[in-house]
Amino acid sequence: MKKEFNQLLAILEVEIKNLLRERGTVGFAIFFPILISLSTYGVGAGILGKAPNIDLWFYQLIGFTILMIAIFMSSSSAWYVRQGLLSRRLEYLFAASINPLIIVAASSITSGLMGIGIFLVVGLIGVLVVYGISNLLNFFLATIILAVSLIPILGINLIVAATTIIGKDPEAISQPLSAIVSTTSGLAYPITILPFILQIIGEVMPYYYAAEYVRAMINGYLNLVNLESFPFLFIYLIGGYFIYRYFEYNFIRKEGNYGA
Amino acid sequence: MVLNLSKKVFSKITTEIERGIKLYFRNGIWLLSDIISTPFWVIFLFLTIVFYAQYLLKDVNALTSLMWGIFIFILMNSFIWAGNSIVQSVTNGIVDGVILTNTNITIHLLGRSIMSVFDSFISGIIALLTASYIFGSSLLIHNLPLFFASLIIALIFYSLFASVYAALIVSLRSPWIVSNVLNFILPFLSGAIPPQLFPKSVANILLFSPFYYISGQIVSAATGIYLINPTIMLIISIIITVVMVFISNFISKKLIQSMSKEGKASLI
Repeated sequence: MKKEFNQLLAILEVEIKNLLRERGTVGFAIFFPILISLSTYGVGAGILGKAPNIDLWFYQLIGFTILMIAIFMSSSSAWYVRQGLLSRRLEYLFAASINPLIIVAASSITSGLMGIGIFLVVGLIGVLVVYGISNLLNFFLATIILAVSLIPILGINLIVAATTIIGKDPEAISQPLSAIVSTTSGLAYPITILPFILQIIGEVMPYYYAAEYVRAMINGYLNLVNLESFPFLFIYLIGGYFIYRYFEYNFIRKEGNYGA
Repeated sequence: MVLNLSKKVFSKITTEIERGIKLYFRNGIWLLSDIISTPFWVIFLFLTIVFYAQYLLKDVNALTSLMWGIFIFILMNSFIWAGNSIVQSVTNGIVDGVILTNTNITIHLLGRSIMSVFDSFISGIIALLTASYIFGSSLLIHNLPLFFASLIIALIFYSLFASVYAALIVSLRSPWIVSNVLNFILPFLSGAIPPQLFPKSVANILLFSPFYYISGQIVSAATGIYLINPTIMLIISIIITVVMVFISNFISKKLIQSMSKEGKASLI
């Protein structure tokens, strides 16, 4: 067990150092939700001829932040596999006496930590602007809720990573997922204004619940009844793991196709 | 001698166009990705923009303008990323070849611009159909000749703009950040967000933006809603495009000179 833990820490260290080198990406991920939410707020003010309710800006700010985290996580999973295949890093990792789950866990923890970090910075700015310090405790509890809500999303990232093994182009793989998540998950607007079929898609994906739980927690009205769907979302994590292992075994290990 | 030079330039242009077409159709996964993503992005953009004024979802004129706004957004976005592709050319060592063969950066980017044209039209048509089906926007084009004329002007302008943009970002470490930010600034400067939705004093600010005369003209020709006289708008758009030819040529030459002098393509 100690050996596995050390392996996890070693890979985690490398992944976090990799991430810290990408300061531009981190800065952009923080700046982007603020920029886009202020842009739409400005458009709203222009159209209405007066400043819209600031709560609506906060609604979109939280949504865009979760969207940024979702895009970052799915895109980084796809790039992890792609770059790993091109640089042959995956070949070394698979050849080492290490459980693939440790590799996947280390990569996922890194992108999860990055997501939480983005949320802490952007969300804190939003909470302070809209509610002052009165909702700060709720906000920190919401951050914990978000951290837990990201766990089922890791399952989807595993599916993205698995599809990259065949599809090769990471952006082309993660782009449709980002489009579907953005549109159907109630991040920038309530899903009630969507056509019925898109509402259903939104409701079966974990992103919708992450945004809803976080907003409810910040506003202080989250209770256990709201959380009843949550355990079912872990199906994504289990399913994602098996799908990833299937693809990894059949298309990388079995064929010995570690590159290109 | 002039004939030989023209032949050489023509040969380079056709090679780049051929490269662009081959690259576009080689990456079938991108085509599939666009076909799946575009309808979702269109719905997302529509609903995000009207989030604060949901009554607009019942206004066919506003929805139609918004639909064409998204069409030009796709067009501009595609060319911004064409400009951004210079980074790949640099990291793959292609720019070294471009310098050695004394090729203009604008000509080199033509291949990527051709991909942008395909991309814009396929995604653009999907966007128009999605907006019409989901939101009931009208697909009727008010002034067809002006629409096609402004579309051709926009394609020429943005191909040149892509090369100017490429020259400006080539030395940056994270140019994609600038590209993403530009993607959110351009819709405001180009009339992609329908100006008639705003008070006249705010809408008139657009008249100071060159991008409005290029992109906004497409929306105006399609919807029949003009901020200024269409003939004046057309003349100004042609003048801006001609000016862009000179700017693009000048910046491209400067870039090649600087790269040749320093012996390195960029900081990367």
